[in-house]
Amino acid sequence: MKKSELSVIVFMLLFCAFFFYETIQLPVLAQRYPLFVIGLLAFLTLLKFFNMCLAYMKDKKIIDDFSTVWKSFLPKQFFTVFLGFLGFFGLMYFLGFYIAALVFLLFALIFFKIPKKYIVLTLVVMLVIVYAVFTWFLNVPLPEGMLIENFF
Amino acid sequence: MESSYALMAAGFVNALSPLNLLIMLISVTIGIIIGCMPGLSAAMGVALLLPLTFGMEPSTGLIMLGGIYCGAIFGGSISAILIHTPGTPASAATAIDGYAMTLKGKAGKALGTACIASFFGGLLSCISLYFFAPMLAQLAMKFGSPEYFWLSLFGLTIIAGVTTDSLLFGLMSGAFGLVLSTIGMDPMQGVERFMFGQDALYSGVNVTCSLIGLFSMSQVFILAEKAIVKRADAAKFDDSILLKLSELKRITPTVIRSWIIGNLIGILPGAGASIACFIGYNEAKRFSKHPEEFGNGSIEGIAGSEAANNAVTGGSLIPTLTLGIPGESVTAVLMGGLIIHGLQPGPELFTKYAPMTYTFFGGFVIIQFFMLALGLLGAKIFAKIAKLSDAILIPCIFVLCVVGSFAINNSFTDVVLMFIFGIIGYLMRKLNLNTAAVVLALILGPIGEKGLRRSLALSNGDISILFSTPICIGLIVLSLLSVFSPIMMKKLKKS
Repeated sequence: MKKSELSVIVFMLLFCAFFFYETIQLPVLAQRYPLFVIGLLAFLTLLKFFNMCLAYMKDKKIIDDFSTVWKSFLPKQFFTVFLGFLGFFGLMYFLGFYIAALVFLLFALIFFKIPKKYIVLTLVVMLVIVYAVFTWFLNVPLPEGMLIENFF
Repeated sequence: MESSYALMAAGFVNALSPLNLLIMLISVTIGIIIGCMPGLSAAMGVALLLPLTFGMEPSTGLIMLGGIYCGAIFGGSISAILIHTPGTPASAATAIDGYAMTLKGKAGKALGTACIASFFGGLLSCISLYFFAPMLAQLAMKFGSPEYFWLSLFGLTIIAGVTTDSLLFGLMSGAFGLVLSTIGMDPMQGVERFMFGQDALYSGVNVTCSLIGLFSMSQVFILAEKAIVKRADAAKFDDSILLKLSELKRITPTVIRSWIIGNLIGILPGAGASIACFIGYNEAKRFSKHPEEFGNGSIEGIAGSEAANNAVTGGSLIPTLTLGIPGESVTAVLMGGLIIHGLQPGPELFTKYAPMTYTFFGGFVIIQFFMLALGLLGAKIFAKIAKLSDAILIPCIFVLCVVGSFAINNSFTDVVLMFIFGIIGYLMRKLNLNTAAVVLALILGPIGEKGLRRSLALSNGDISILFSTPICIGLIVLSLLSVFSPIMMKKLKKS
């Protein structure tokens, strides 16, 4: 029995419980199909758990495989980039897409220690591609940002 | 029959329009670039560029997605041959003899063989696409609500069962997606289900957002968690990329054999290019007059693998377009593209929308010629691009994911949804669950729900309607068989 698999079982059962609770708030006729698919997921999850229990009875051990699953995980790098993503969303909301993209790309490329000439090249190529494809070709009104819209 | 030929000819002419040709050139180039970069997959590329097709005619949009698909499958061979790292799993077998040839200073010859074999594999697979797809579509005309319910279940069992190591985890992924597919307005009762006050969820979870999130954004997370490794330098080569007539003659039987293998594997939903390349390679070795060359740089080995993986492309489109059952994750994304354009896979694609479908087919044929030309002329440039660092790819793909998901409805909610699906996809991939099954469930879930609920409404709740026709029984048998297919696939892989 692997700990990672056990975490999946727990998550799926909690997920089923949450959707089951939400389903029973619905009118009776609208409950049937969601209950059918929730039941299907719960059944498969319990079947997997049963298989895992059988394996446990045989081996009598729980394998802590989280170290294998997260072997290559670099928390500092990952969460810095993740915060960068969230920062991008915030900047996009207030200052608009292009400014946010410029700041984010600059931040990420400097963080990854990319040489200056490649930073400039990447910024130019990316912004030109996005402008040409989305603004010019697809006419997508990319967010201009709350602050920009209010002040200009 | 005559009208079919007329449609084929008209489709071919439409595909030759300047816009379509330009789109083919761009999409095949992008596909090859994505394919030759280890770590990026064909499904990721197709999902990421799906929003670009919104402003296009459906046929042009599909041609673009097809170009990326074919380009990426071929592109994987460039890095397999030059840096011994397959760009995609479909080129894993190519790396064996391709890199051996590179070490002997014959990288040009290896690339030329891969290119020509890919071209013929892809081109020949179009024959089956042209002739088998309409036949299967005619069968689909007989489908009613109960059949559609079983068909969606069959589709789910296939993809859920094949692509993960654990069958139950695969099926659980599919069921997880089915629960997510119930979000939105109830199609029969008209009540809100699990919308949590979000109007954007009225018509359910946006499939494009989920595709971009599960395939592209999750890939960004995967790349961001690992140490950035400098890619190996691609080997430089000066030998000719063109094959001699004697070499062409030598690989011809292998190409034909691999085409049949790849095509059959493509048509059988659930398998895919990664399995086809190994079977094609093994069969090439078995029938070769020089089996001792395999592993030491055999052009037949490269041809066997590359013709087979490219032959999968046309074959896998057959069940996708006719029955709505994608054979693998790339075709699941392609099917999403079809649905985004308001088209449902099935018989209508060969009746009401036949001109569009045959234009796509025509385009699919011409794409192979672009692949050949770009492969032969641009291999050296693509090899240099394959060196592009993950450190540059991470922020660039993220920006494209954001702008792509925003472009769907010009809504920030879609960006948030894409990001959430990115996190879900990342965790699923870490924990060995199947993201393709979730996407498929989001696509097939509503079809299955309508099929089931309409059937029960028609029969006043009598479930025997679900077992009332031979097609239903056939689909139930196929579903059961597909559940057990992973065991068969494992045996095939081992052999």
